[in-house]
Amino acid sequence: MREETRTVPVQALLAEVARLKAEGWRLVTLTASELDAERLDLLYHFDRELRLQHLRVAVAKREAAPSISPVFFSAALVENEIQDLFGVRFAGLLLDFGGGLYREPESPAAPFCRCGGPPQETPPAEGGGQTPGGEGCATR
Amino acid sequence: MRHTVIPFGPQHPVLPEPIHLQLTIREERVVEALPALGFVHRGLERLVEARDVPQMIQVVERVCGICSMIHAHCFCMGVEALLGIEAPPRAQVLRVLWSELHRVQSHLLWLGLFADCLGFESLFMQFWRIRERILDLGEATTGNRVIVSVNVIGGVRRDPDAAQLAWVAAEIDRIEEELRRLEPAVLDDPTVRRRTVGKGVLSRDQAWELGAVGPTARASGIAEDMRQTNYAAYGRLYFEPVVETDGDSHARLRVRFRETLASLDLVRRAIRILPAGEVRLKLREPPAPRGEIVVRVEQPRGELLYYLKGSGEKRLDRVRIRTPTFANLPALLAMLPGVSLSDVPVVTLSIDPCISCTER
Amino acid sequence: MFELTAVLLRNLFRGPATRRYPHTVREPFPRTRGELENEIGRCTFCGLCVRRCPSRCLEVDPAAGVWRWDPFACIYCGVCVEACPVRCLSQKETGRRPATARETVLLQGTPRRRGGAQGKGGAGEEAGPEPS
Repeated sequence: MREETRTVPVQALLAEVARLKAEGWRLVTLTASELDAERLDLLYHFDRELRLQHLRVAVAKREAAPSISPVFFSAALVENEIQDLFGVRFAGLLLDFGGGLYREPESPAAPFCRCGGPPQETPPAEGGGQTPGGEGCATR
Repeated sequence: MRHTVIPFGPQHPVLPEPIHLQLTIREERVVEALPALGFVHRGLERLVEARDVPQMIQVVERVCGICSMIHAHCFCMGVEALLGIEAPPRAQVLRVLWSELHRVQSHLLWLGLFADCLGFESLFMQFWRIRERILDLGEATTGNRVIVSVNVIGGVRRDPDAAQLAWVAAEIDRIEEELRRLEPAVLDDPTVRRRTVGKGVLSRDQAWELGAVGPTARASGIAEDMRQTNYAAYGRLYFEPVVETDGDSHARLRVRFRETLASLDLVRRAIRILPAGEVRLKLREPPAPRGEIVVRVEQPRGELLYYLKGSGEKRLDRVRIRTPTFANLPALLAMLPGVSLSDVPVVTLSIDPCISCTER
Repeated sequence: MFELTAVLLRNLFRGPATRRYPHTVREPFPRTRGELENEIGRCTFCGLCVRRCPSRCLEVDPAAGVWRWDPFACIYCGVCVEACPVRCLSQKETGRRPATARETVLLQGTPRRRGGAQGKGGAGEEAGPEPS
């Protein structure tokens, strides 16, 4: 990464985002990418006067990550997208589609997870909740 | 007074793309708007597992049909940065030239659609007639009409000769003259003004807070344009963003109209500074980028962000695309409350929504 | 008022801005990427076009000497034309006509002899600007 990237613990995330907002940093977006079967890498991109800065947070797929939508409402849409595609949960999401922004009830559970699906909170629909992806991480 | 809930969309609400807005109405005024998406989600980001780096260019071009050039431009710039190479100077200027032609045709498409949504059919025809000539310029210089497929890692695939460039420059002059003749019909027409002035106002603070980008943000007084970061050859073109301060639909219309003229000017200047030389680097081996990078460029609809992650394989690990309409949707939800039901299509279209971009 | 009259008169005599397609067809621009053609006699069935194709619309069977193209999956990007080591692939300047049924183009050539003129493709990738 060419720009400043800081790794922050999950607990400190909300305070850090609020501080950046007070300093005039605009939230550009969030990026999720899978680290392994257990963890997800969340990147928060901020912009001020055409300069970028990133915050990196590693979250466990099983635990709900804190939503930053109370600070930046614009994060609500992208957090919903990550919920849909990676199967994590965001706690305190202001506009929560509950994993149904893109997906229908019969859609695969976490279509962008390659290293095995997320924990199934609700019992899978008839036909069995398949593990999406299926290639596994070992091949990558 | 009771509330009424009206479904707006998803079957082609005002533009031929599927978006659903659930509008809560009270006495013909919108109280709340809630979006529903997912009708055209194609999972293109995950195709990265099945396509190698050069093949991904054709995939990202299909994120958006209108601005394919700029998606591919952004992706190639990111991969080139990861590989530590740079496209030759002539290719950099050609990329700007085609990007600006795409911006012009995208804005003309929108101007036409906007006129159409106001019921101004003849203006719609005029804009699309002009747009056709821009598409001709693109087809003659790149080989394809809309999805131009001209970028590669390390340069561009086509090199227009001097005669073609002279023709492009002459056409640009004629197109600009025709557009200037249409200017009073778009910007000063009393009907257009009555339908747009004061409709869907977005204040500067709201625009910043909600993360609006592109013409939507610039119409609210935020002078931010990714072309100011001087990527490709923009640093040599002395670029100035177009800014308006009213924040209503008419301001967004003015921004896009003036940007169209500014882009034509950029095309003209790009031709003037076009250096001679190679347009494509010879890569010794298939590209296998390693590392992470965030690239941003300015699309017709605003800031476009690509996040690329590679681990030295011929396929990337992750491609994440944040398209401008995705960033502008929260702003749209903030514009709609208070708007009369009959103005909802106008306000919705005023952010230039591209839903297939949004969902990818 | 005068301006309007001038516009009106101009429009009266200029004729329509549209063409009566398909009765009148515009001449294609030079080097437009249209229908894909394979000079099958020169094809070595190396399969490089298949590996480069972003839309997976090509299939090659070297043993049988068959080259198969699905024009309805093709995106006409011209990547295969650029990749072809023996330059037997080319693109016409006109696109295919609309069709009522899906079809694939199948070309039969002479299968490559074992051990013969192989290994010419593959290495030495990425030539300069694409051939016209």
